[in-house]
Amino acid sequence: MSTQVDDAEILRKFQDEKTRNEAFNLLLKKYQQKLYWHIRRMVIDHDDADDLIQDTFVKVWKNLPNFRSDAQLYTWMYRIATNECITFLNKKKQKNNIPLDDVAYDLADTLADSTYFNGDQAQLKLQQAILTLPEKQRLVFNMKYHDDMKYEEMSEILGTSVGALKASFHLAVKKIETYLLSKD
Amino acid sequence: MNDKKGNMEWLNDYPALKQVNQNNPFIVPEGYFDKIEQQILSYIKLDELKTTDGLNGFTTHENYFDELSDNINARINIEEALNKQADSFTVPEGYFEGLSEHIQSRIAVDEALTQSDAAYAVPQGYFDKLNENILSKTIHQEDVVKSISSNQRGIVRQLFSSTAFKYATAACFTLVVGTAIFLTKTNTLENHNDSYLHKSLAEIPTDDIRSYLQLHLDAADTHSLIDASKQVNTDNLNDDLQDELDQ
Repeated sequence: MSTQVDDAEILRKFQDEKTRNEAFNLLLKKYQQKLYWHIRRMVIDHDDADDLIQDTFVKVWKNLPNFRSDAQLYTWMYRIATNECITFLNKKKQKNNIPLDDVAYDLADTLADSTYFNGDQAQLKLQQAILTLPEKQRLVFNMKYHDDMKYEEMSEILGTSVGALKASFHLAVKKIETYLLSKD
Repeated sequence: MNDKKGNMEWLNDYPALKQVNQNNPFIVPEGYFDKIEQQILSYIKLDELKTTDGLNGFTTHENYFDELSDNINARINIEEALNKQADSFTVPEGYFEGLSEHIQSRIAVDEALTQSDAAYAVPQGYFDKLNENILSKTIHQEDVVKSISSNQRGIVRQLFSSTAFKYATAACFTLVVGTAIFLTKTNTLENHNDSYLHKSLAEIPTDDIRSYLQLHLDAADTHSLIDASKQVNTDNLNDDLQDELDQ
């Protein structure tokens, strides 16, 4: 992390036509894995995550010239990635014509069948518990539990107030704890 | 992002969750993150081509899209007009009800005609030879006649075109013309003297002629006599008239 270039330096280089490609490469190196895991935890399947991470960075490339420097670059990129995830999940629901509650079961099946999940039983159970949450709570929990993100940053990404996010997170954690305690 | 360890105190309130290993249970294909960067860049290039060009290399002539709507509207109007024309064709009332019967009766008539034609028979291979026979009697015969006449025409042309024939013709023509001129100039008087009228009149006595004239001559005959005398013998006639007047 220490070798990574500061966001302000990346943005400065991106403004210059000559160093634009270099700036974007730096941006890719710095955030590709973070955004990938954020997407992967939401869509579970690697191939879906692969498509969405590429779509996310294409949008970043297109919209970066219009980026307002008063916001943080990485929260802005998380917001793009989150929107891509939500759009994808909504399309999946419409395409498979499944009720909203059954999406969690669908994703849980994907998780169980996935060749790219290497967790133990407890981790699998935790992921199944997370999949029982509504999308917003899943997002909040994942960003807090896995990325240890501040509520203010989450507020920028999700466009929700800090108080509402705190409430969502506590609801989510309680549900998960209950799930982990009540099931084998 | 902040240090993860520092802000995870909330986990203490959830012992079941705290027991779960916090390491990432998800994995990716080997070398995925080494390739993803290049994949994303390629994807962006492709997307840029699609966005900037939009036509993928295809082009249209200038003002194509300005004219396109007019062309489409014109085409629609033509199609509608054609459809209206197609609809405007009508048939007599009950036409299609009787059509099948008409067609069947027409077929029956054609079949009957075909059968009646078949009733007349010709010798086997007649029509194969017919053409040849007709040609031999018409075109081929004409060819033979033409070839013969063309040969004879060659002979006649040869005769007319020979130099001896030309000289002989000229000599004959000169002889005929010369004879005609000679006879006309020399034999007029002799012919008259040798004629039957002259001989008959010579045998009649002069007195008889005088008395005939006295009996039959009138005023109108004077002129005839004068004209005749001019042609015959004017001197003798004047003498005769003088003698007649003296008497």
